[in-house]
Amino acid sequence: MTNQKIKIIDTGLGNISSISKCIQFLNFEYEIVNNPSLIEEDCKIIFPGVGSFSHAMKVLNSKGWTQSLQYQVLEKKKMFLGICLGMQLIATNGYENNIKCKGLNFINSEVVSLKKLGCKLKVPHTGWNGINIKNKNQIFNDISHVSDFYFNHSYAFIPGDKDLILSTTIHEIEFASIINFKNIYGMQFHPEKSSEAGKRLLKNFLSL
Amino acid sequence: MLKKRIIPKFLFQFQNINEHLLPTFVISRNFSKLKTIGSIIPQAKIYEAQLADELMILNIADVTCSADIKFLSFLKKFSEQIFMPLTVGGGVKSLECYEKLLNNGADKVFINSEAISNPNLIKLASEKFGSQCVVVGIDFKKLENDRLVVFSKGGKTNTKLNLFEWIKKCEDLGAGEIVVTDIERDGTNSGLNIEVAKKISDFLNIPLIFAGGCGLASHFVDGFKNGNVDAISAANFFSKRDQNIFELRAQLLNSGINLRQV
Repeated sequence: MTNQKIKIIDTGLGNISSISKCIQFLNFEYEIVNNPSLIEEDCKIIFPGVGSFSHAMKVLNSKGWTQSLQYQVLEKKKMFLGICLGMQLIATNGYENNIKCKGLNFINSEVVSLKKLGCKLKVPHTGWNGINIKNKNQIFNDISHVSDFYFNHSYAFIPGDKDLILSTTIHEIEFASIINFKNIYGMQFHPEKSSEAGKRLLKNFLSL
Repeated sequence: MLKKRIIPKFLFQFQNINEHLLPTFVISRNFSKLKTIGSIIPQAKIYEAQLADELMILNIADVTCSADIKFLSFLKKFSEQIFMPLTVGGGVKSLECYEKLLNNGADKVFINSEAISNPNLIKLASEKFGSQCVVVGIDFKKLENDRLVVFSKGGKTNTKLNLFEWIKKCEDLGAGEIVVTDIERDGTNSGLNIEVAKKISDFLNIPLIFAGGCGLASHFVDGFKNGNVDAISAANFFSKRDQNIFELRAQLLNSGINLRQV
C-alpha cells in the first residue's frame, strides 16, 4: 500500500508548498490537485488548510470538492489526512465567527471556539505544545512522548465519540490534537512545521 | 503547556552583487542605520537547526507586496527549504497581498502601516483567512510626558495613536497576534522595555511578541518572566552579539523558562 500516490488538495486557500516539500523530503511522490476529478484514481489524500471555516466551505461547495471528497473518503475509503483547518472541515458543523456552518461531515463532530469551551488563556493557541497519547496507533511509531508540535488555531474539534481521539493537548482546556476514524486522520497542529517529530508523524501516516 | 517562543527576525533586502539579485538581510538601529549581514537562506537553515521556534521576514523594499514578483518567488523558494512556521510582511496593503503571501509559503501575514490607514483590513483578513494568520506589527516611541505613541512607515510617521488604545483596537478587529517594537531600543542591546511589555500583557487576550533591545540572554529571561510576553523577536542579538539560539535556549531553560522539546 505504501506505493500509493499522495494527492495534496489545493483549494487556493493558504500555504501548500511547505506540506508538499515536506512530503518530497520524506521521499514520497506527491501531486498537487486543484480539481476534484483528480482524486478518483487510487491515492492517499492530504487536505491542508488555513482560513476560516465558512469561507473554506464556500470554496469547497462551489468547486465540487464537497461531494467528491465525501464519496472518495466515506464510500471509497481512501486514506485521508486533514491538517489544521483541514481537520476541522471534516466535522458536521463549525461555528466560526458565531455562524453555524455545515462541514464535510466525515465524523459526527463539532468545531467550537476555544473561548466558548472555557479557555481563558490567550487565543489563538499559537506556538509549540505537547500531546498526550490516549490511544495506540501506528502513526505514533518512534514518536517520543515529550515532543512538542506547532499549533496555530482558535477552534477545537469535538468528536461525538471520544474514542476517536488519539491524542489531546492542553491549553487550559483539553482538546483533541489527533483523531482517527477508520481511514480518516486529522491533526490540529502542523506536522510539516513541527521539526523532526512532525516529519516522523507525517511519514508514519504516509506509510500506512 | 504552551511554550515560550524565540523568533529571529530578518529585514529582507535584495542586493545587486555582480549583476545578480541576491536575497540578503540587514539589521537596523532605531529603525535606521541599516547594515547588511548576509545571505538569508543559509542563515535561516542555521536558525532552524538551532531550534528557533518561528521565523519572521519583513521586506523593507517600498513596494506593494502583491506586485513584488521577485520577492514572492524568493519566498516560495525559501519555504520549500525551511520547514518551520513563517510570518511574512512588508508592503501588505490588501487581501490580495495576504493571498499571495500565503500561497507562496507564509503561514502568517504581518501588517503594520496599512492597518493604521485602513484598520478594516484587519477585520476583512481575519474573516477570510482566520485570525490565526493575521499578525499586526506595532512600533512605538515614548514622547514628552511619557506618552507612548504609535509610529508607522518604518518609524518615520507619528500616527498620534495611543499605543495601548491601538493595540486594543487591533485585537477587537480580529488580529491573532501582535508584534510590539520599541523603536528607541531597536538595535541598542539595552534590554526590552519590560514596563510596557507587562502593561500590554496584562490586558491583551491574544499572543504578544515583543521586540527591541535584546542584547543579552538575561534580557530574554526578563521579557518572559517579568514582561510576561509569549514570544520575543530579535535580529541584532543573533547577528552581532556572537550569540546563538542553542546557547540562548540553554540559558532560558536554566532560568526555568518553558521552551519546546524536540
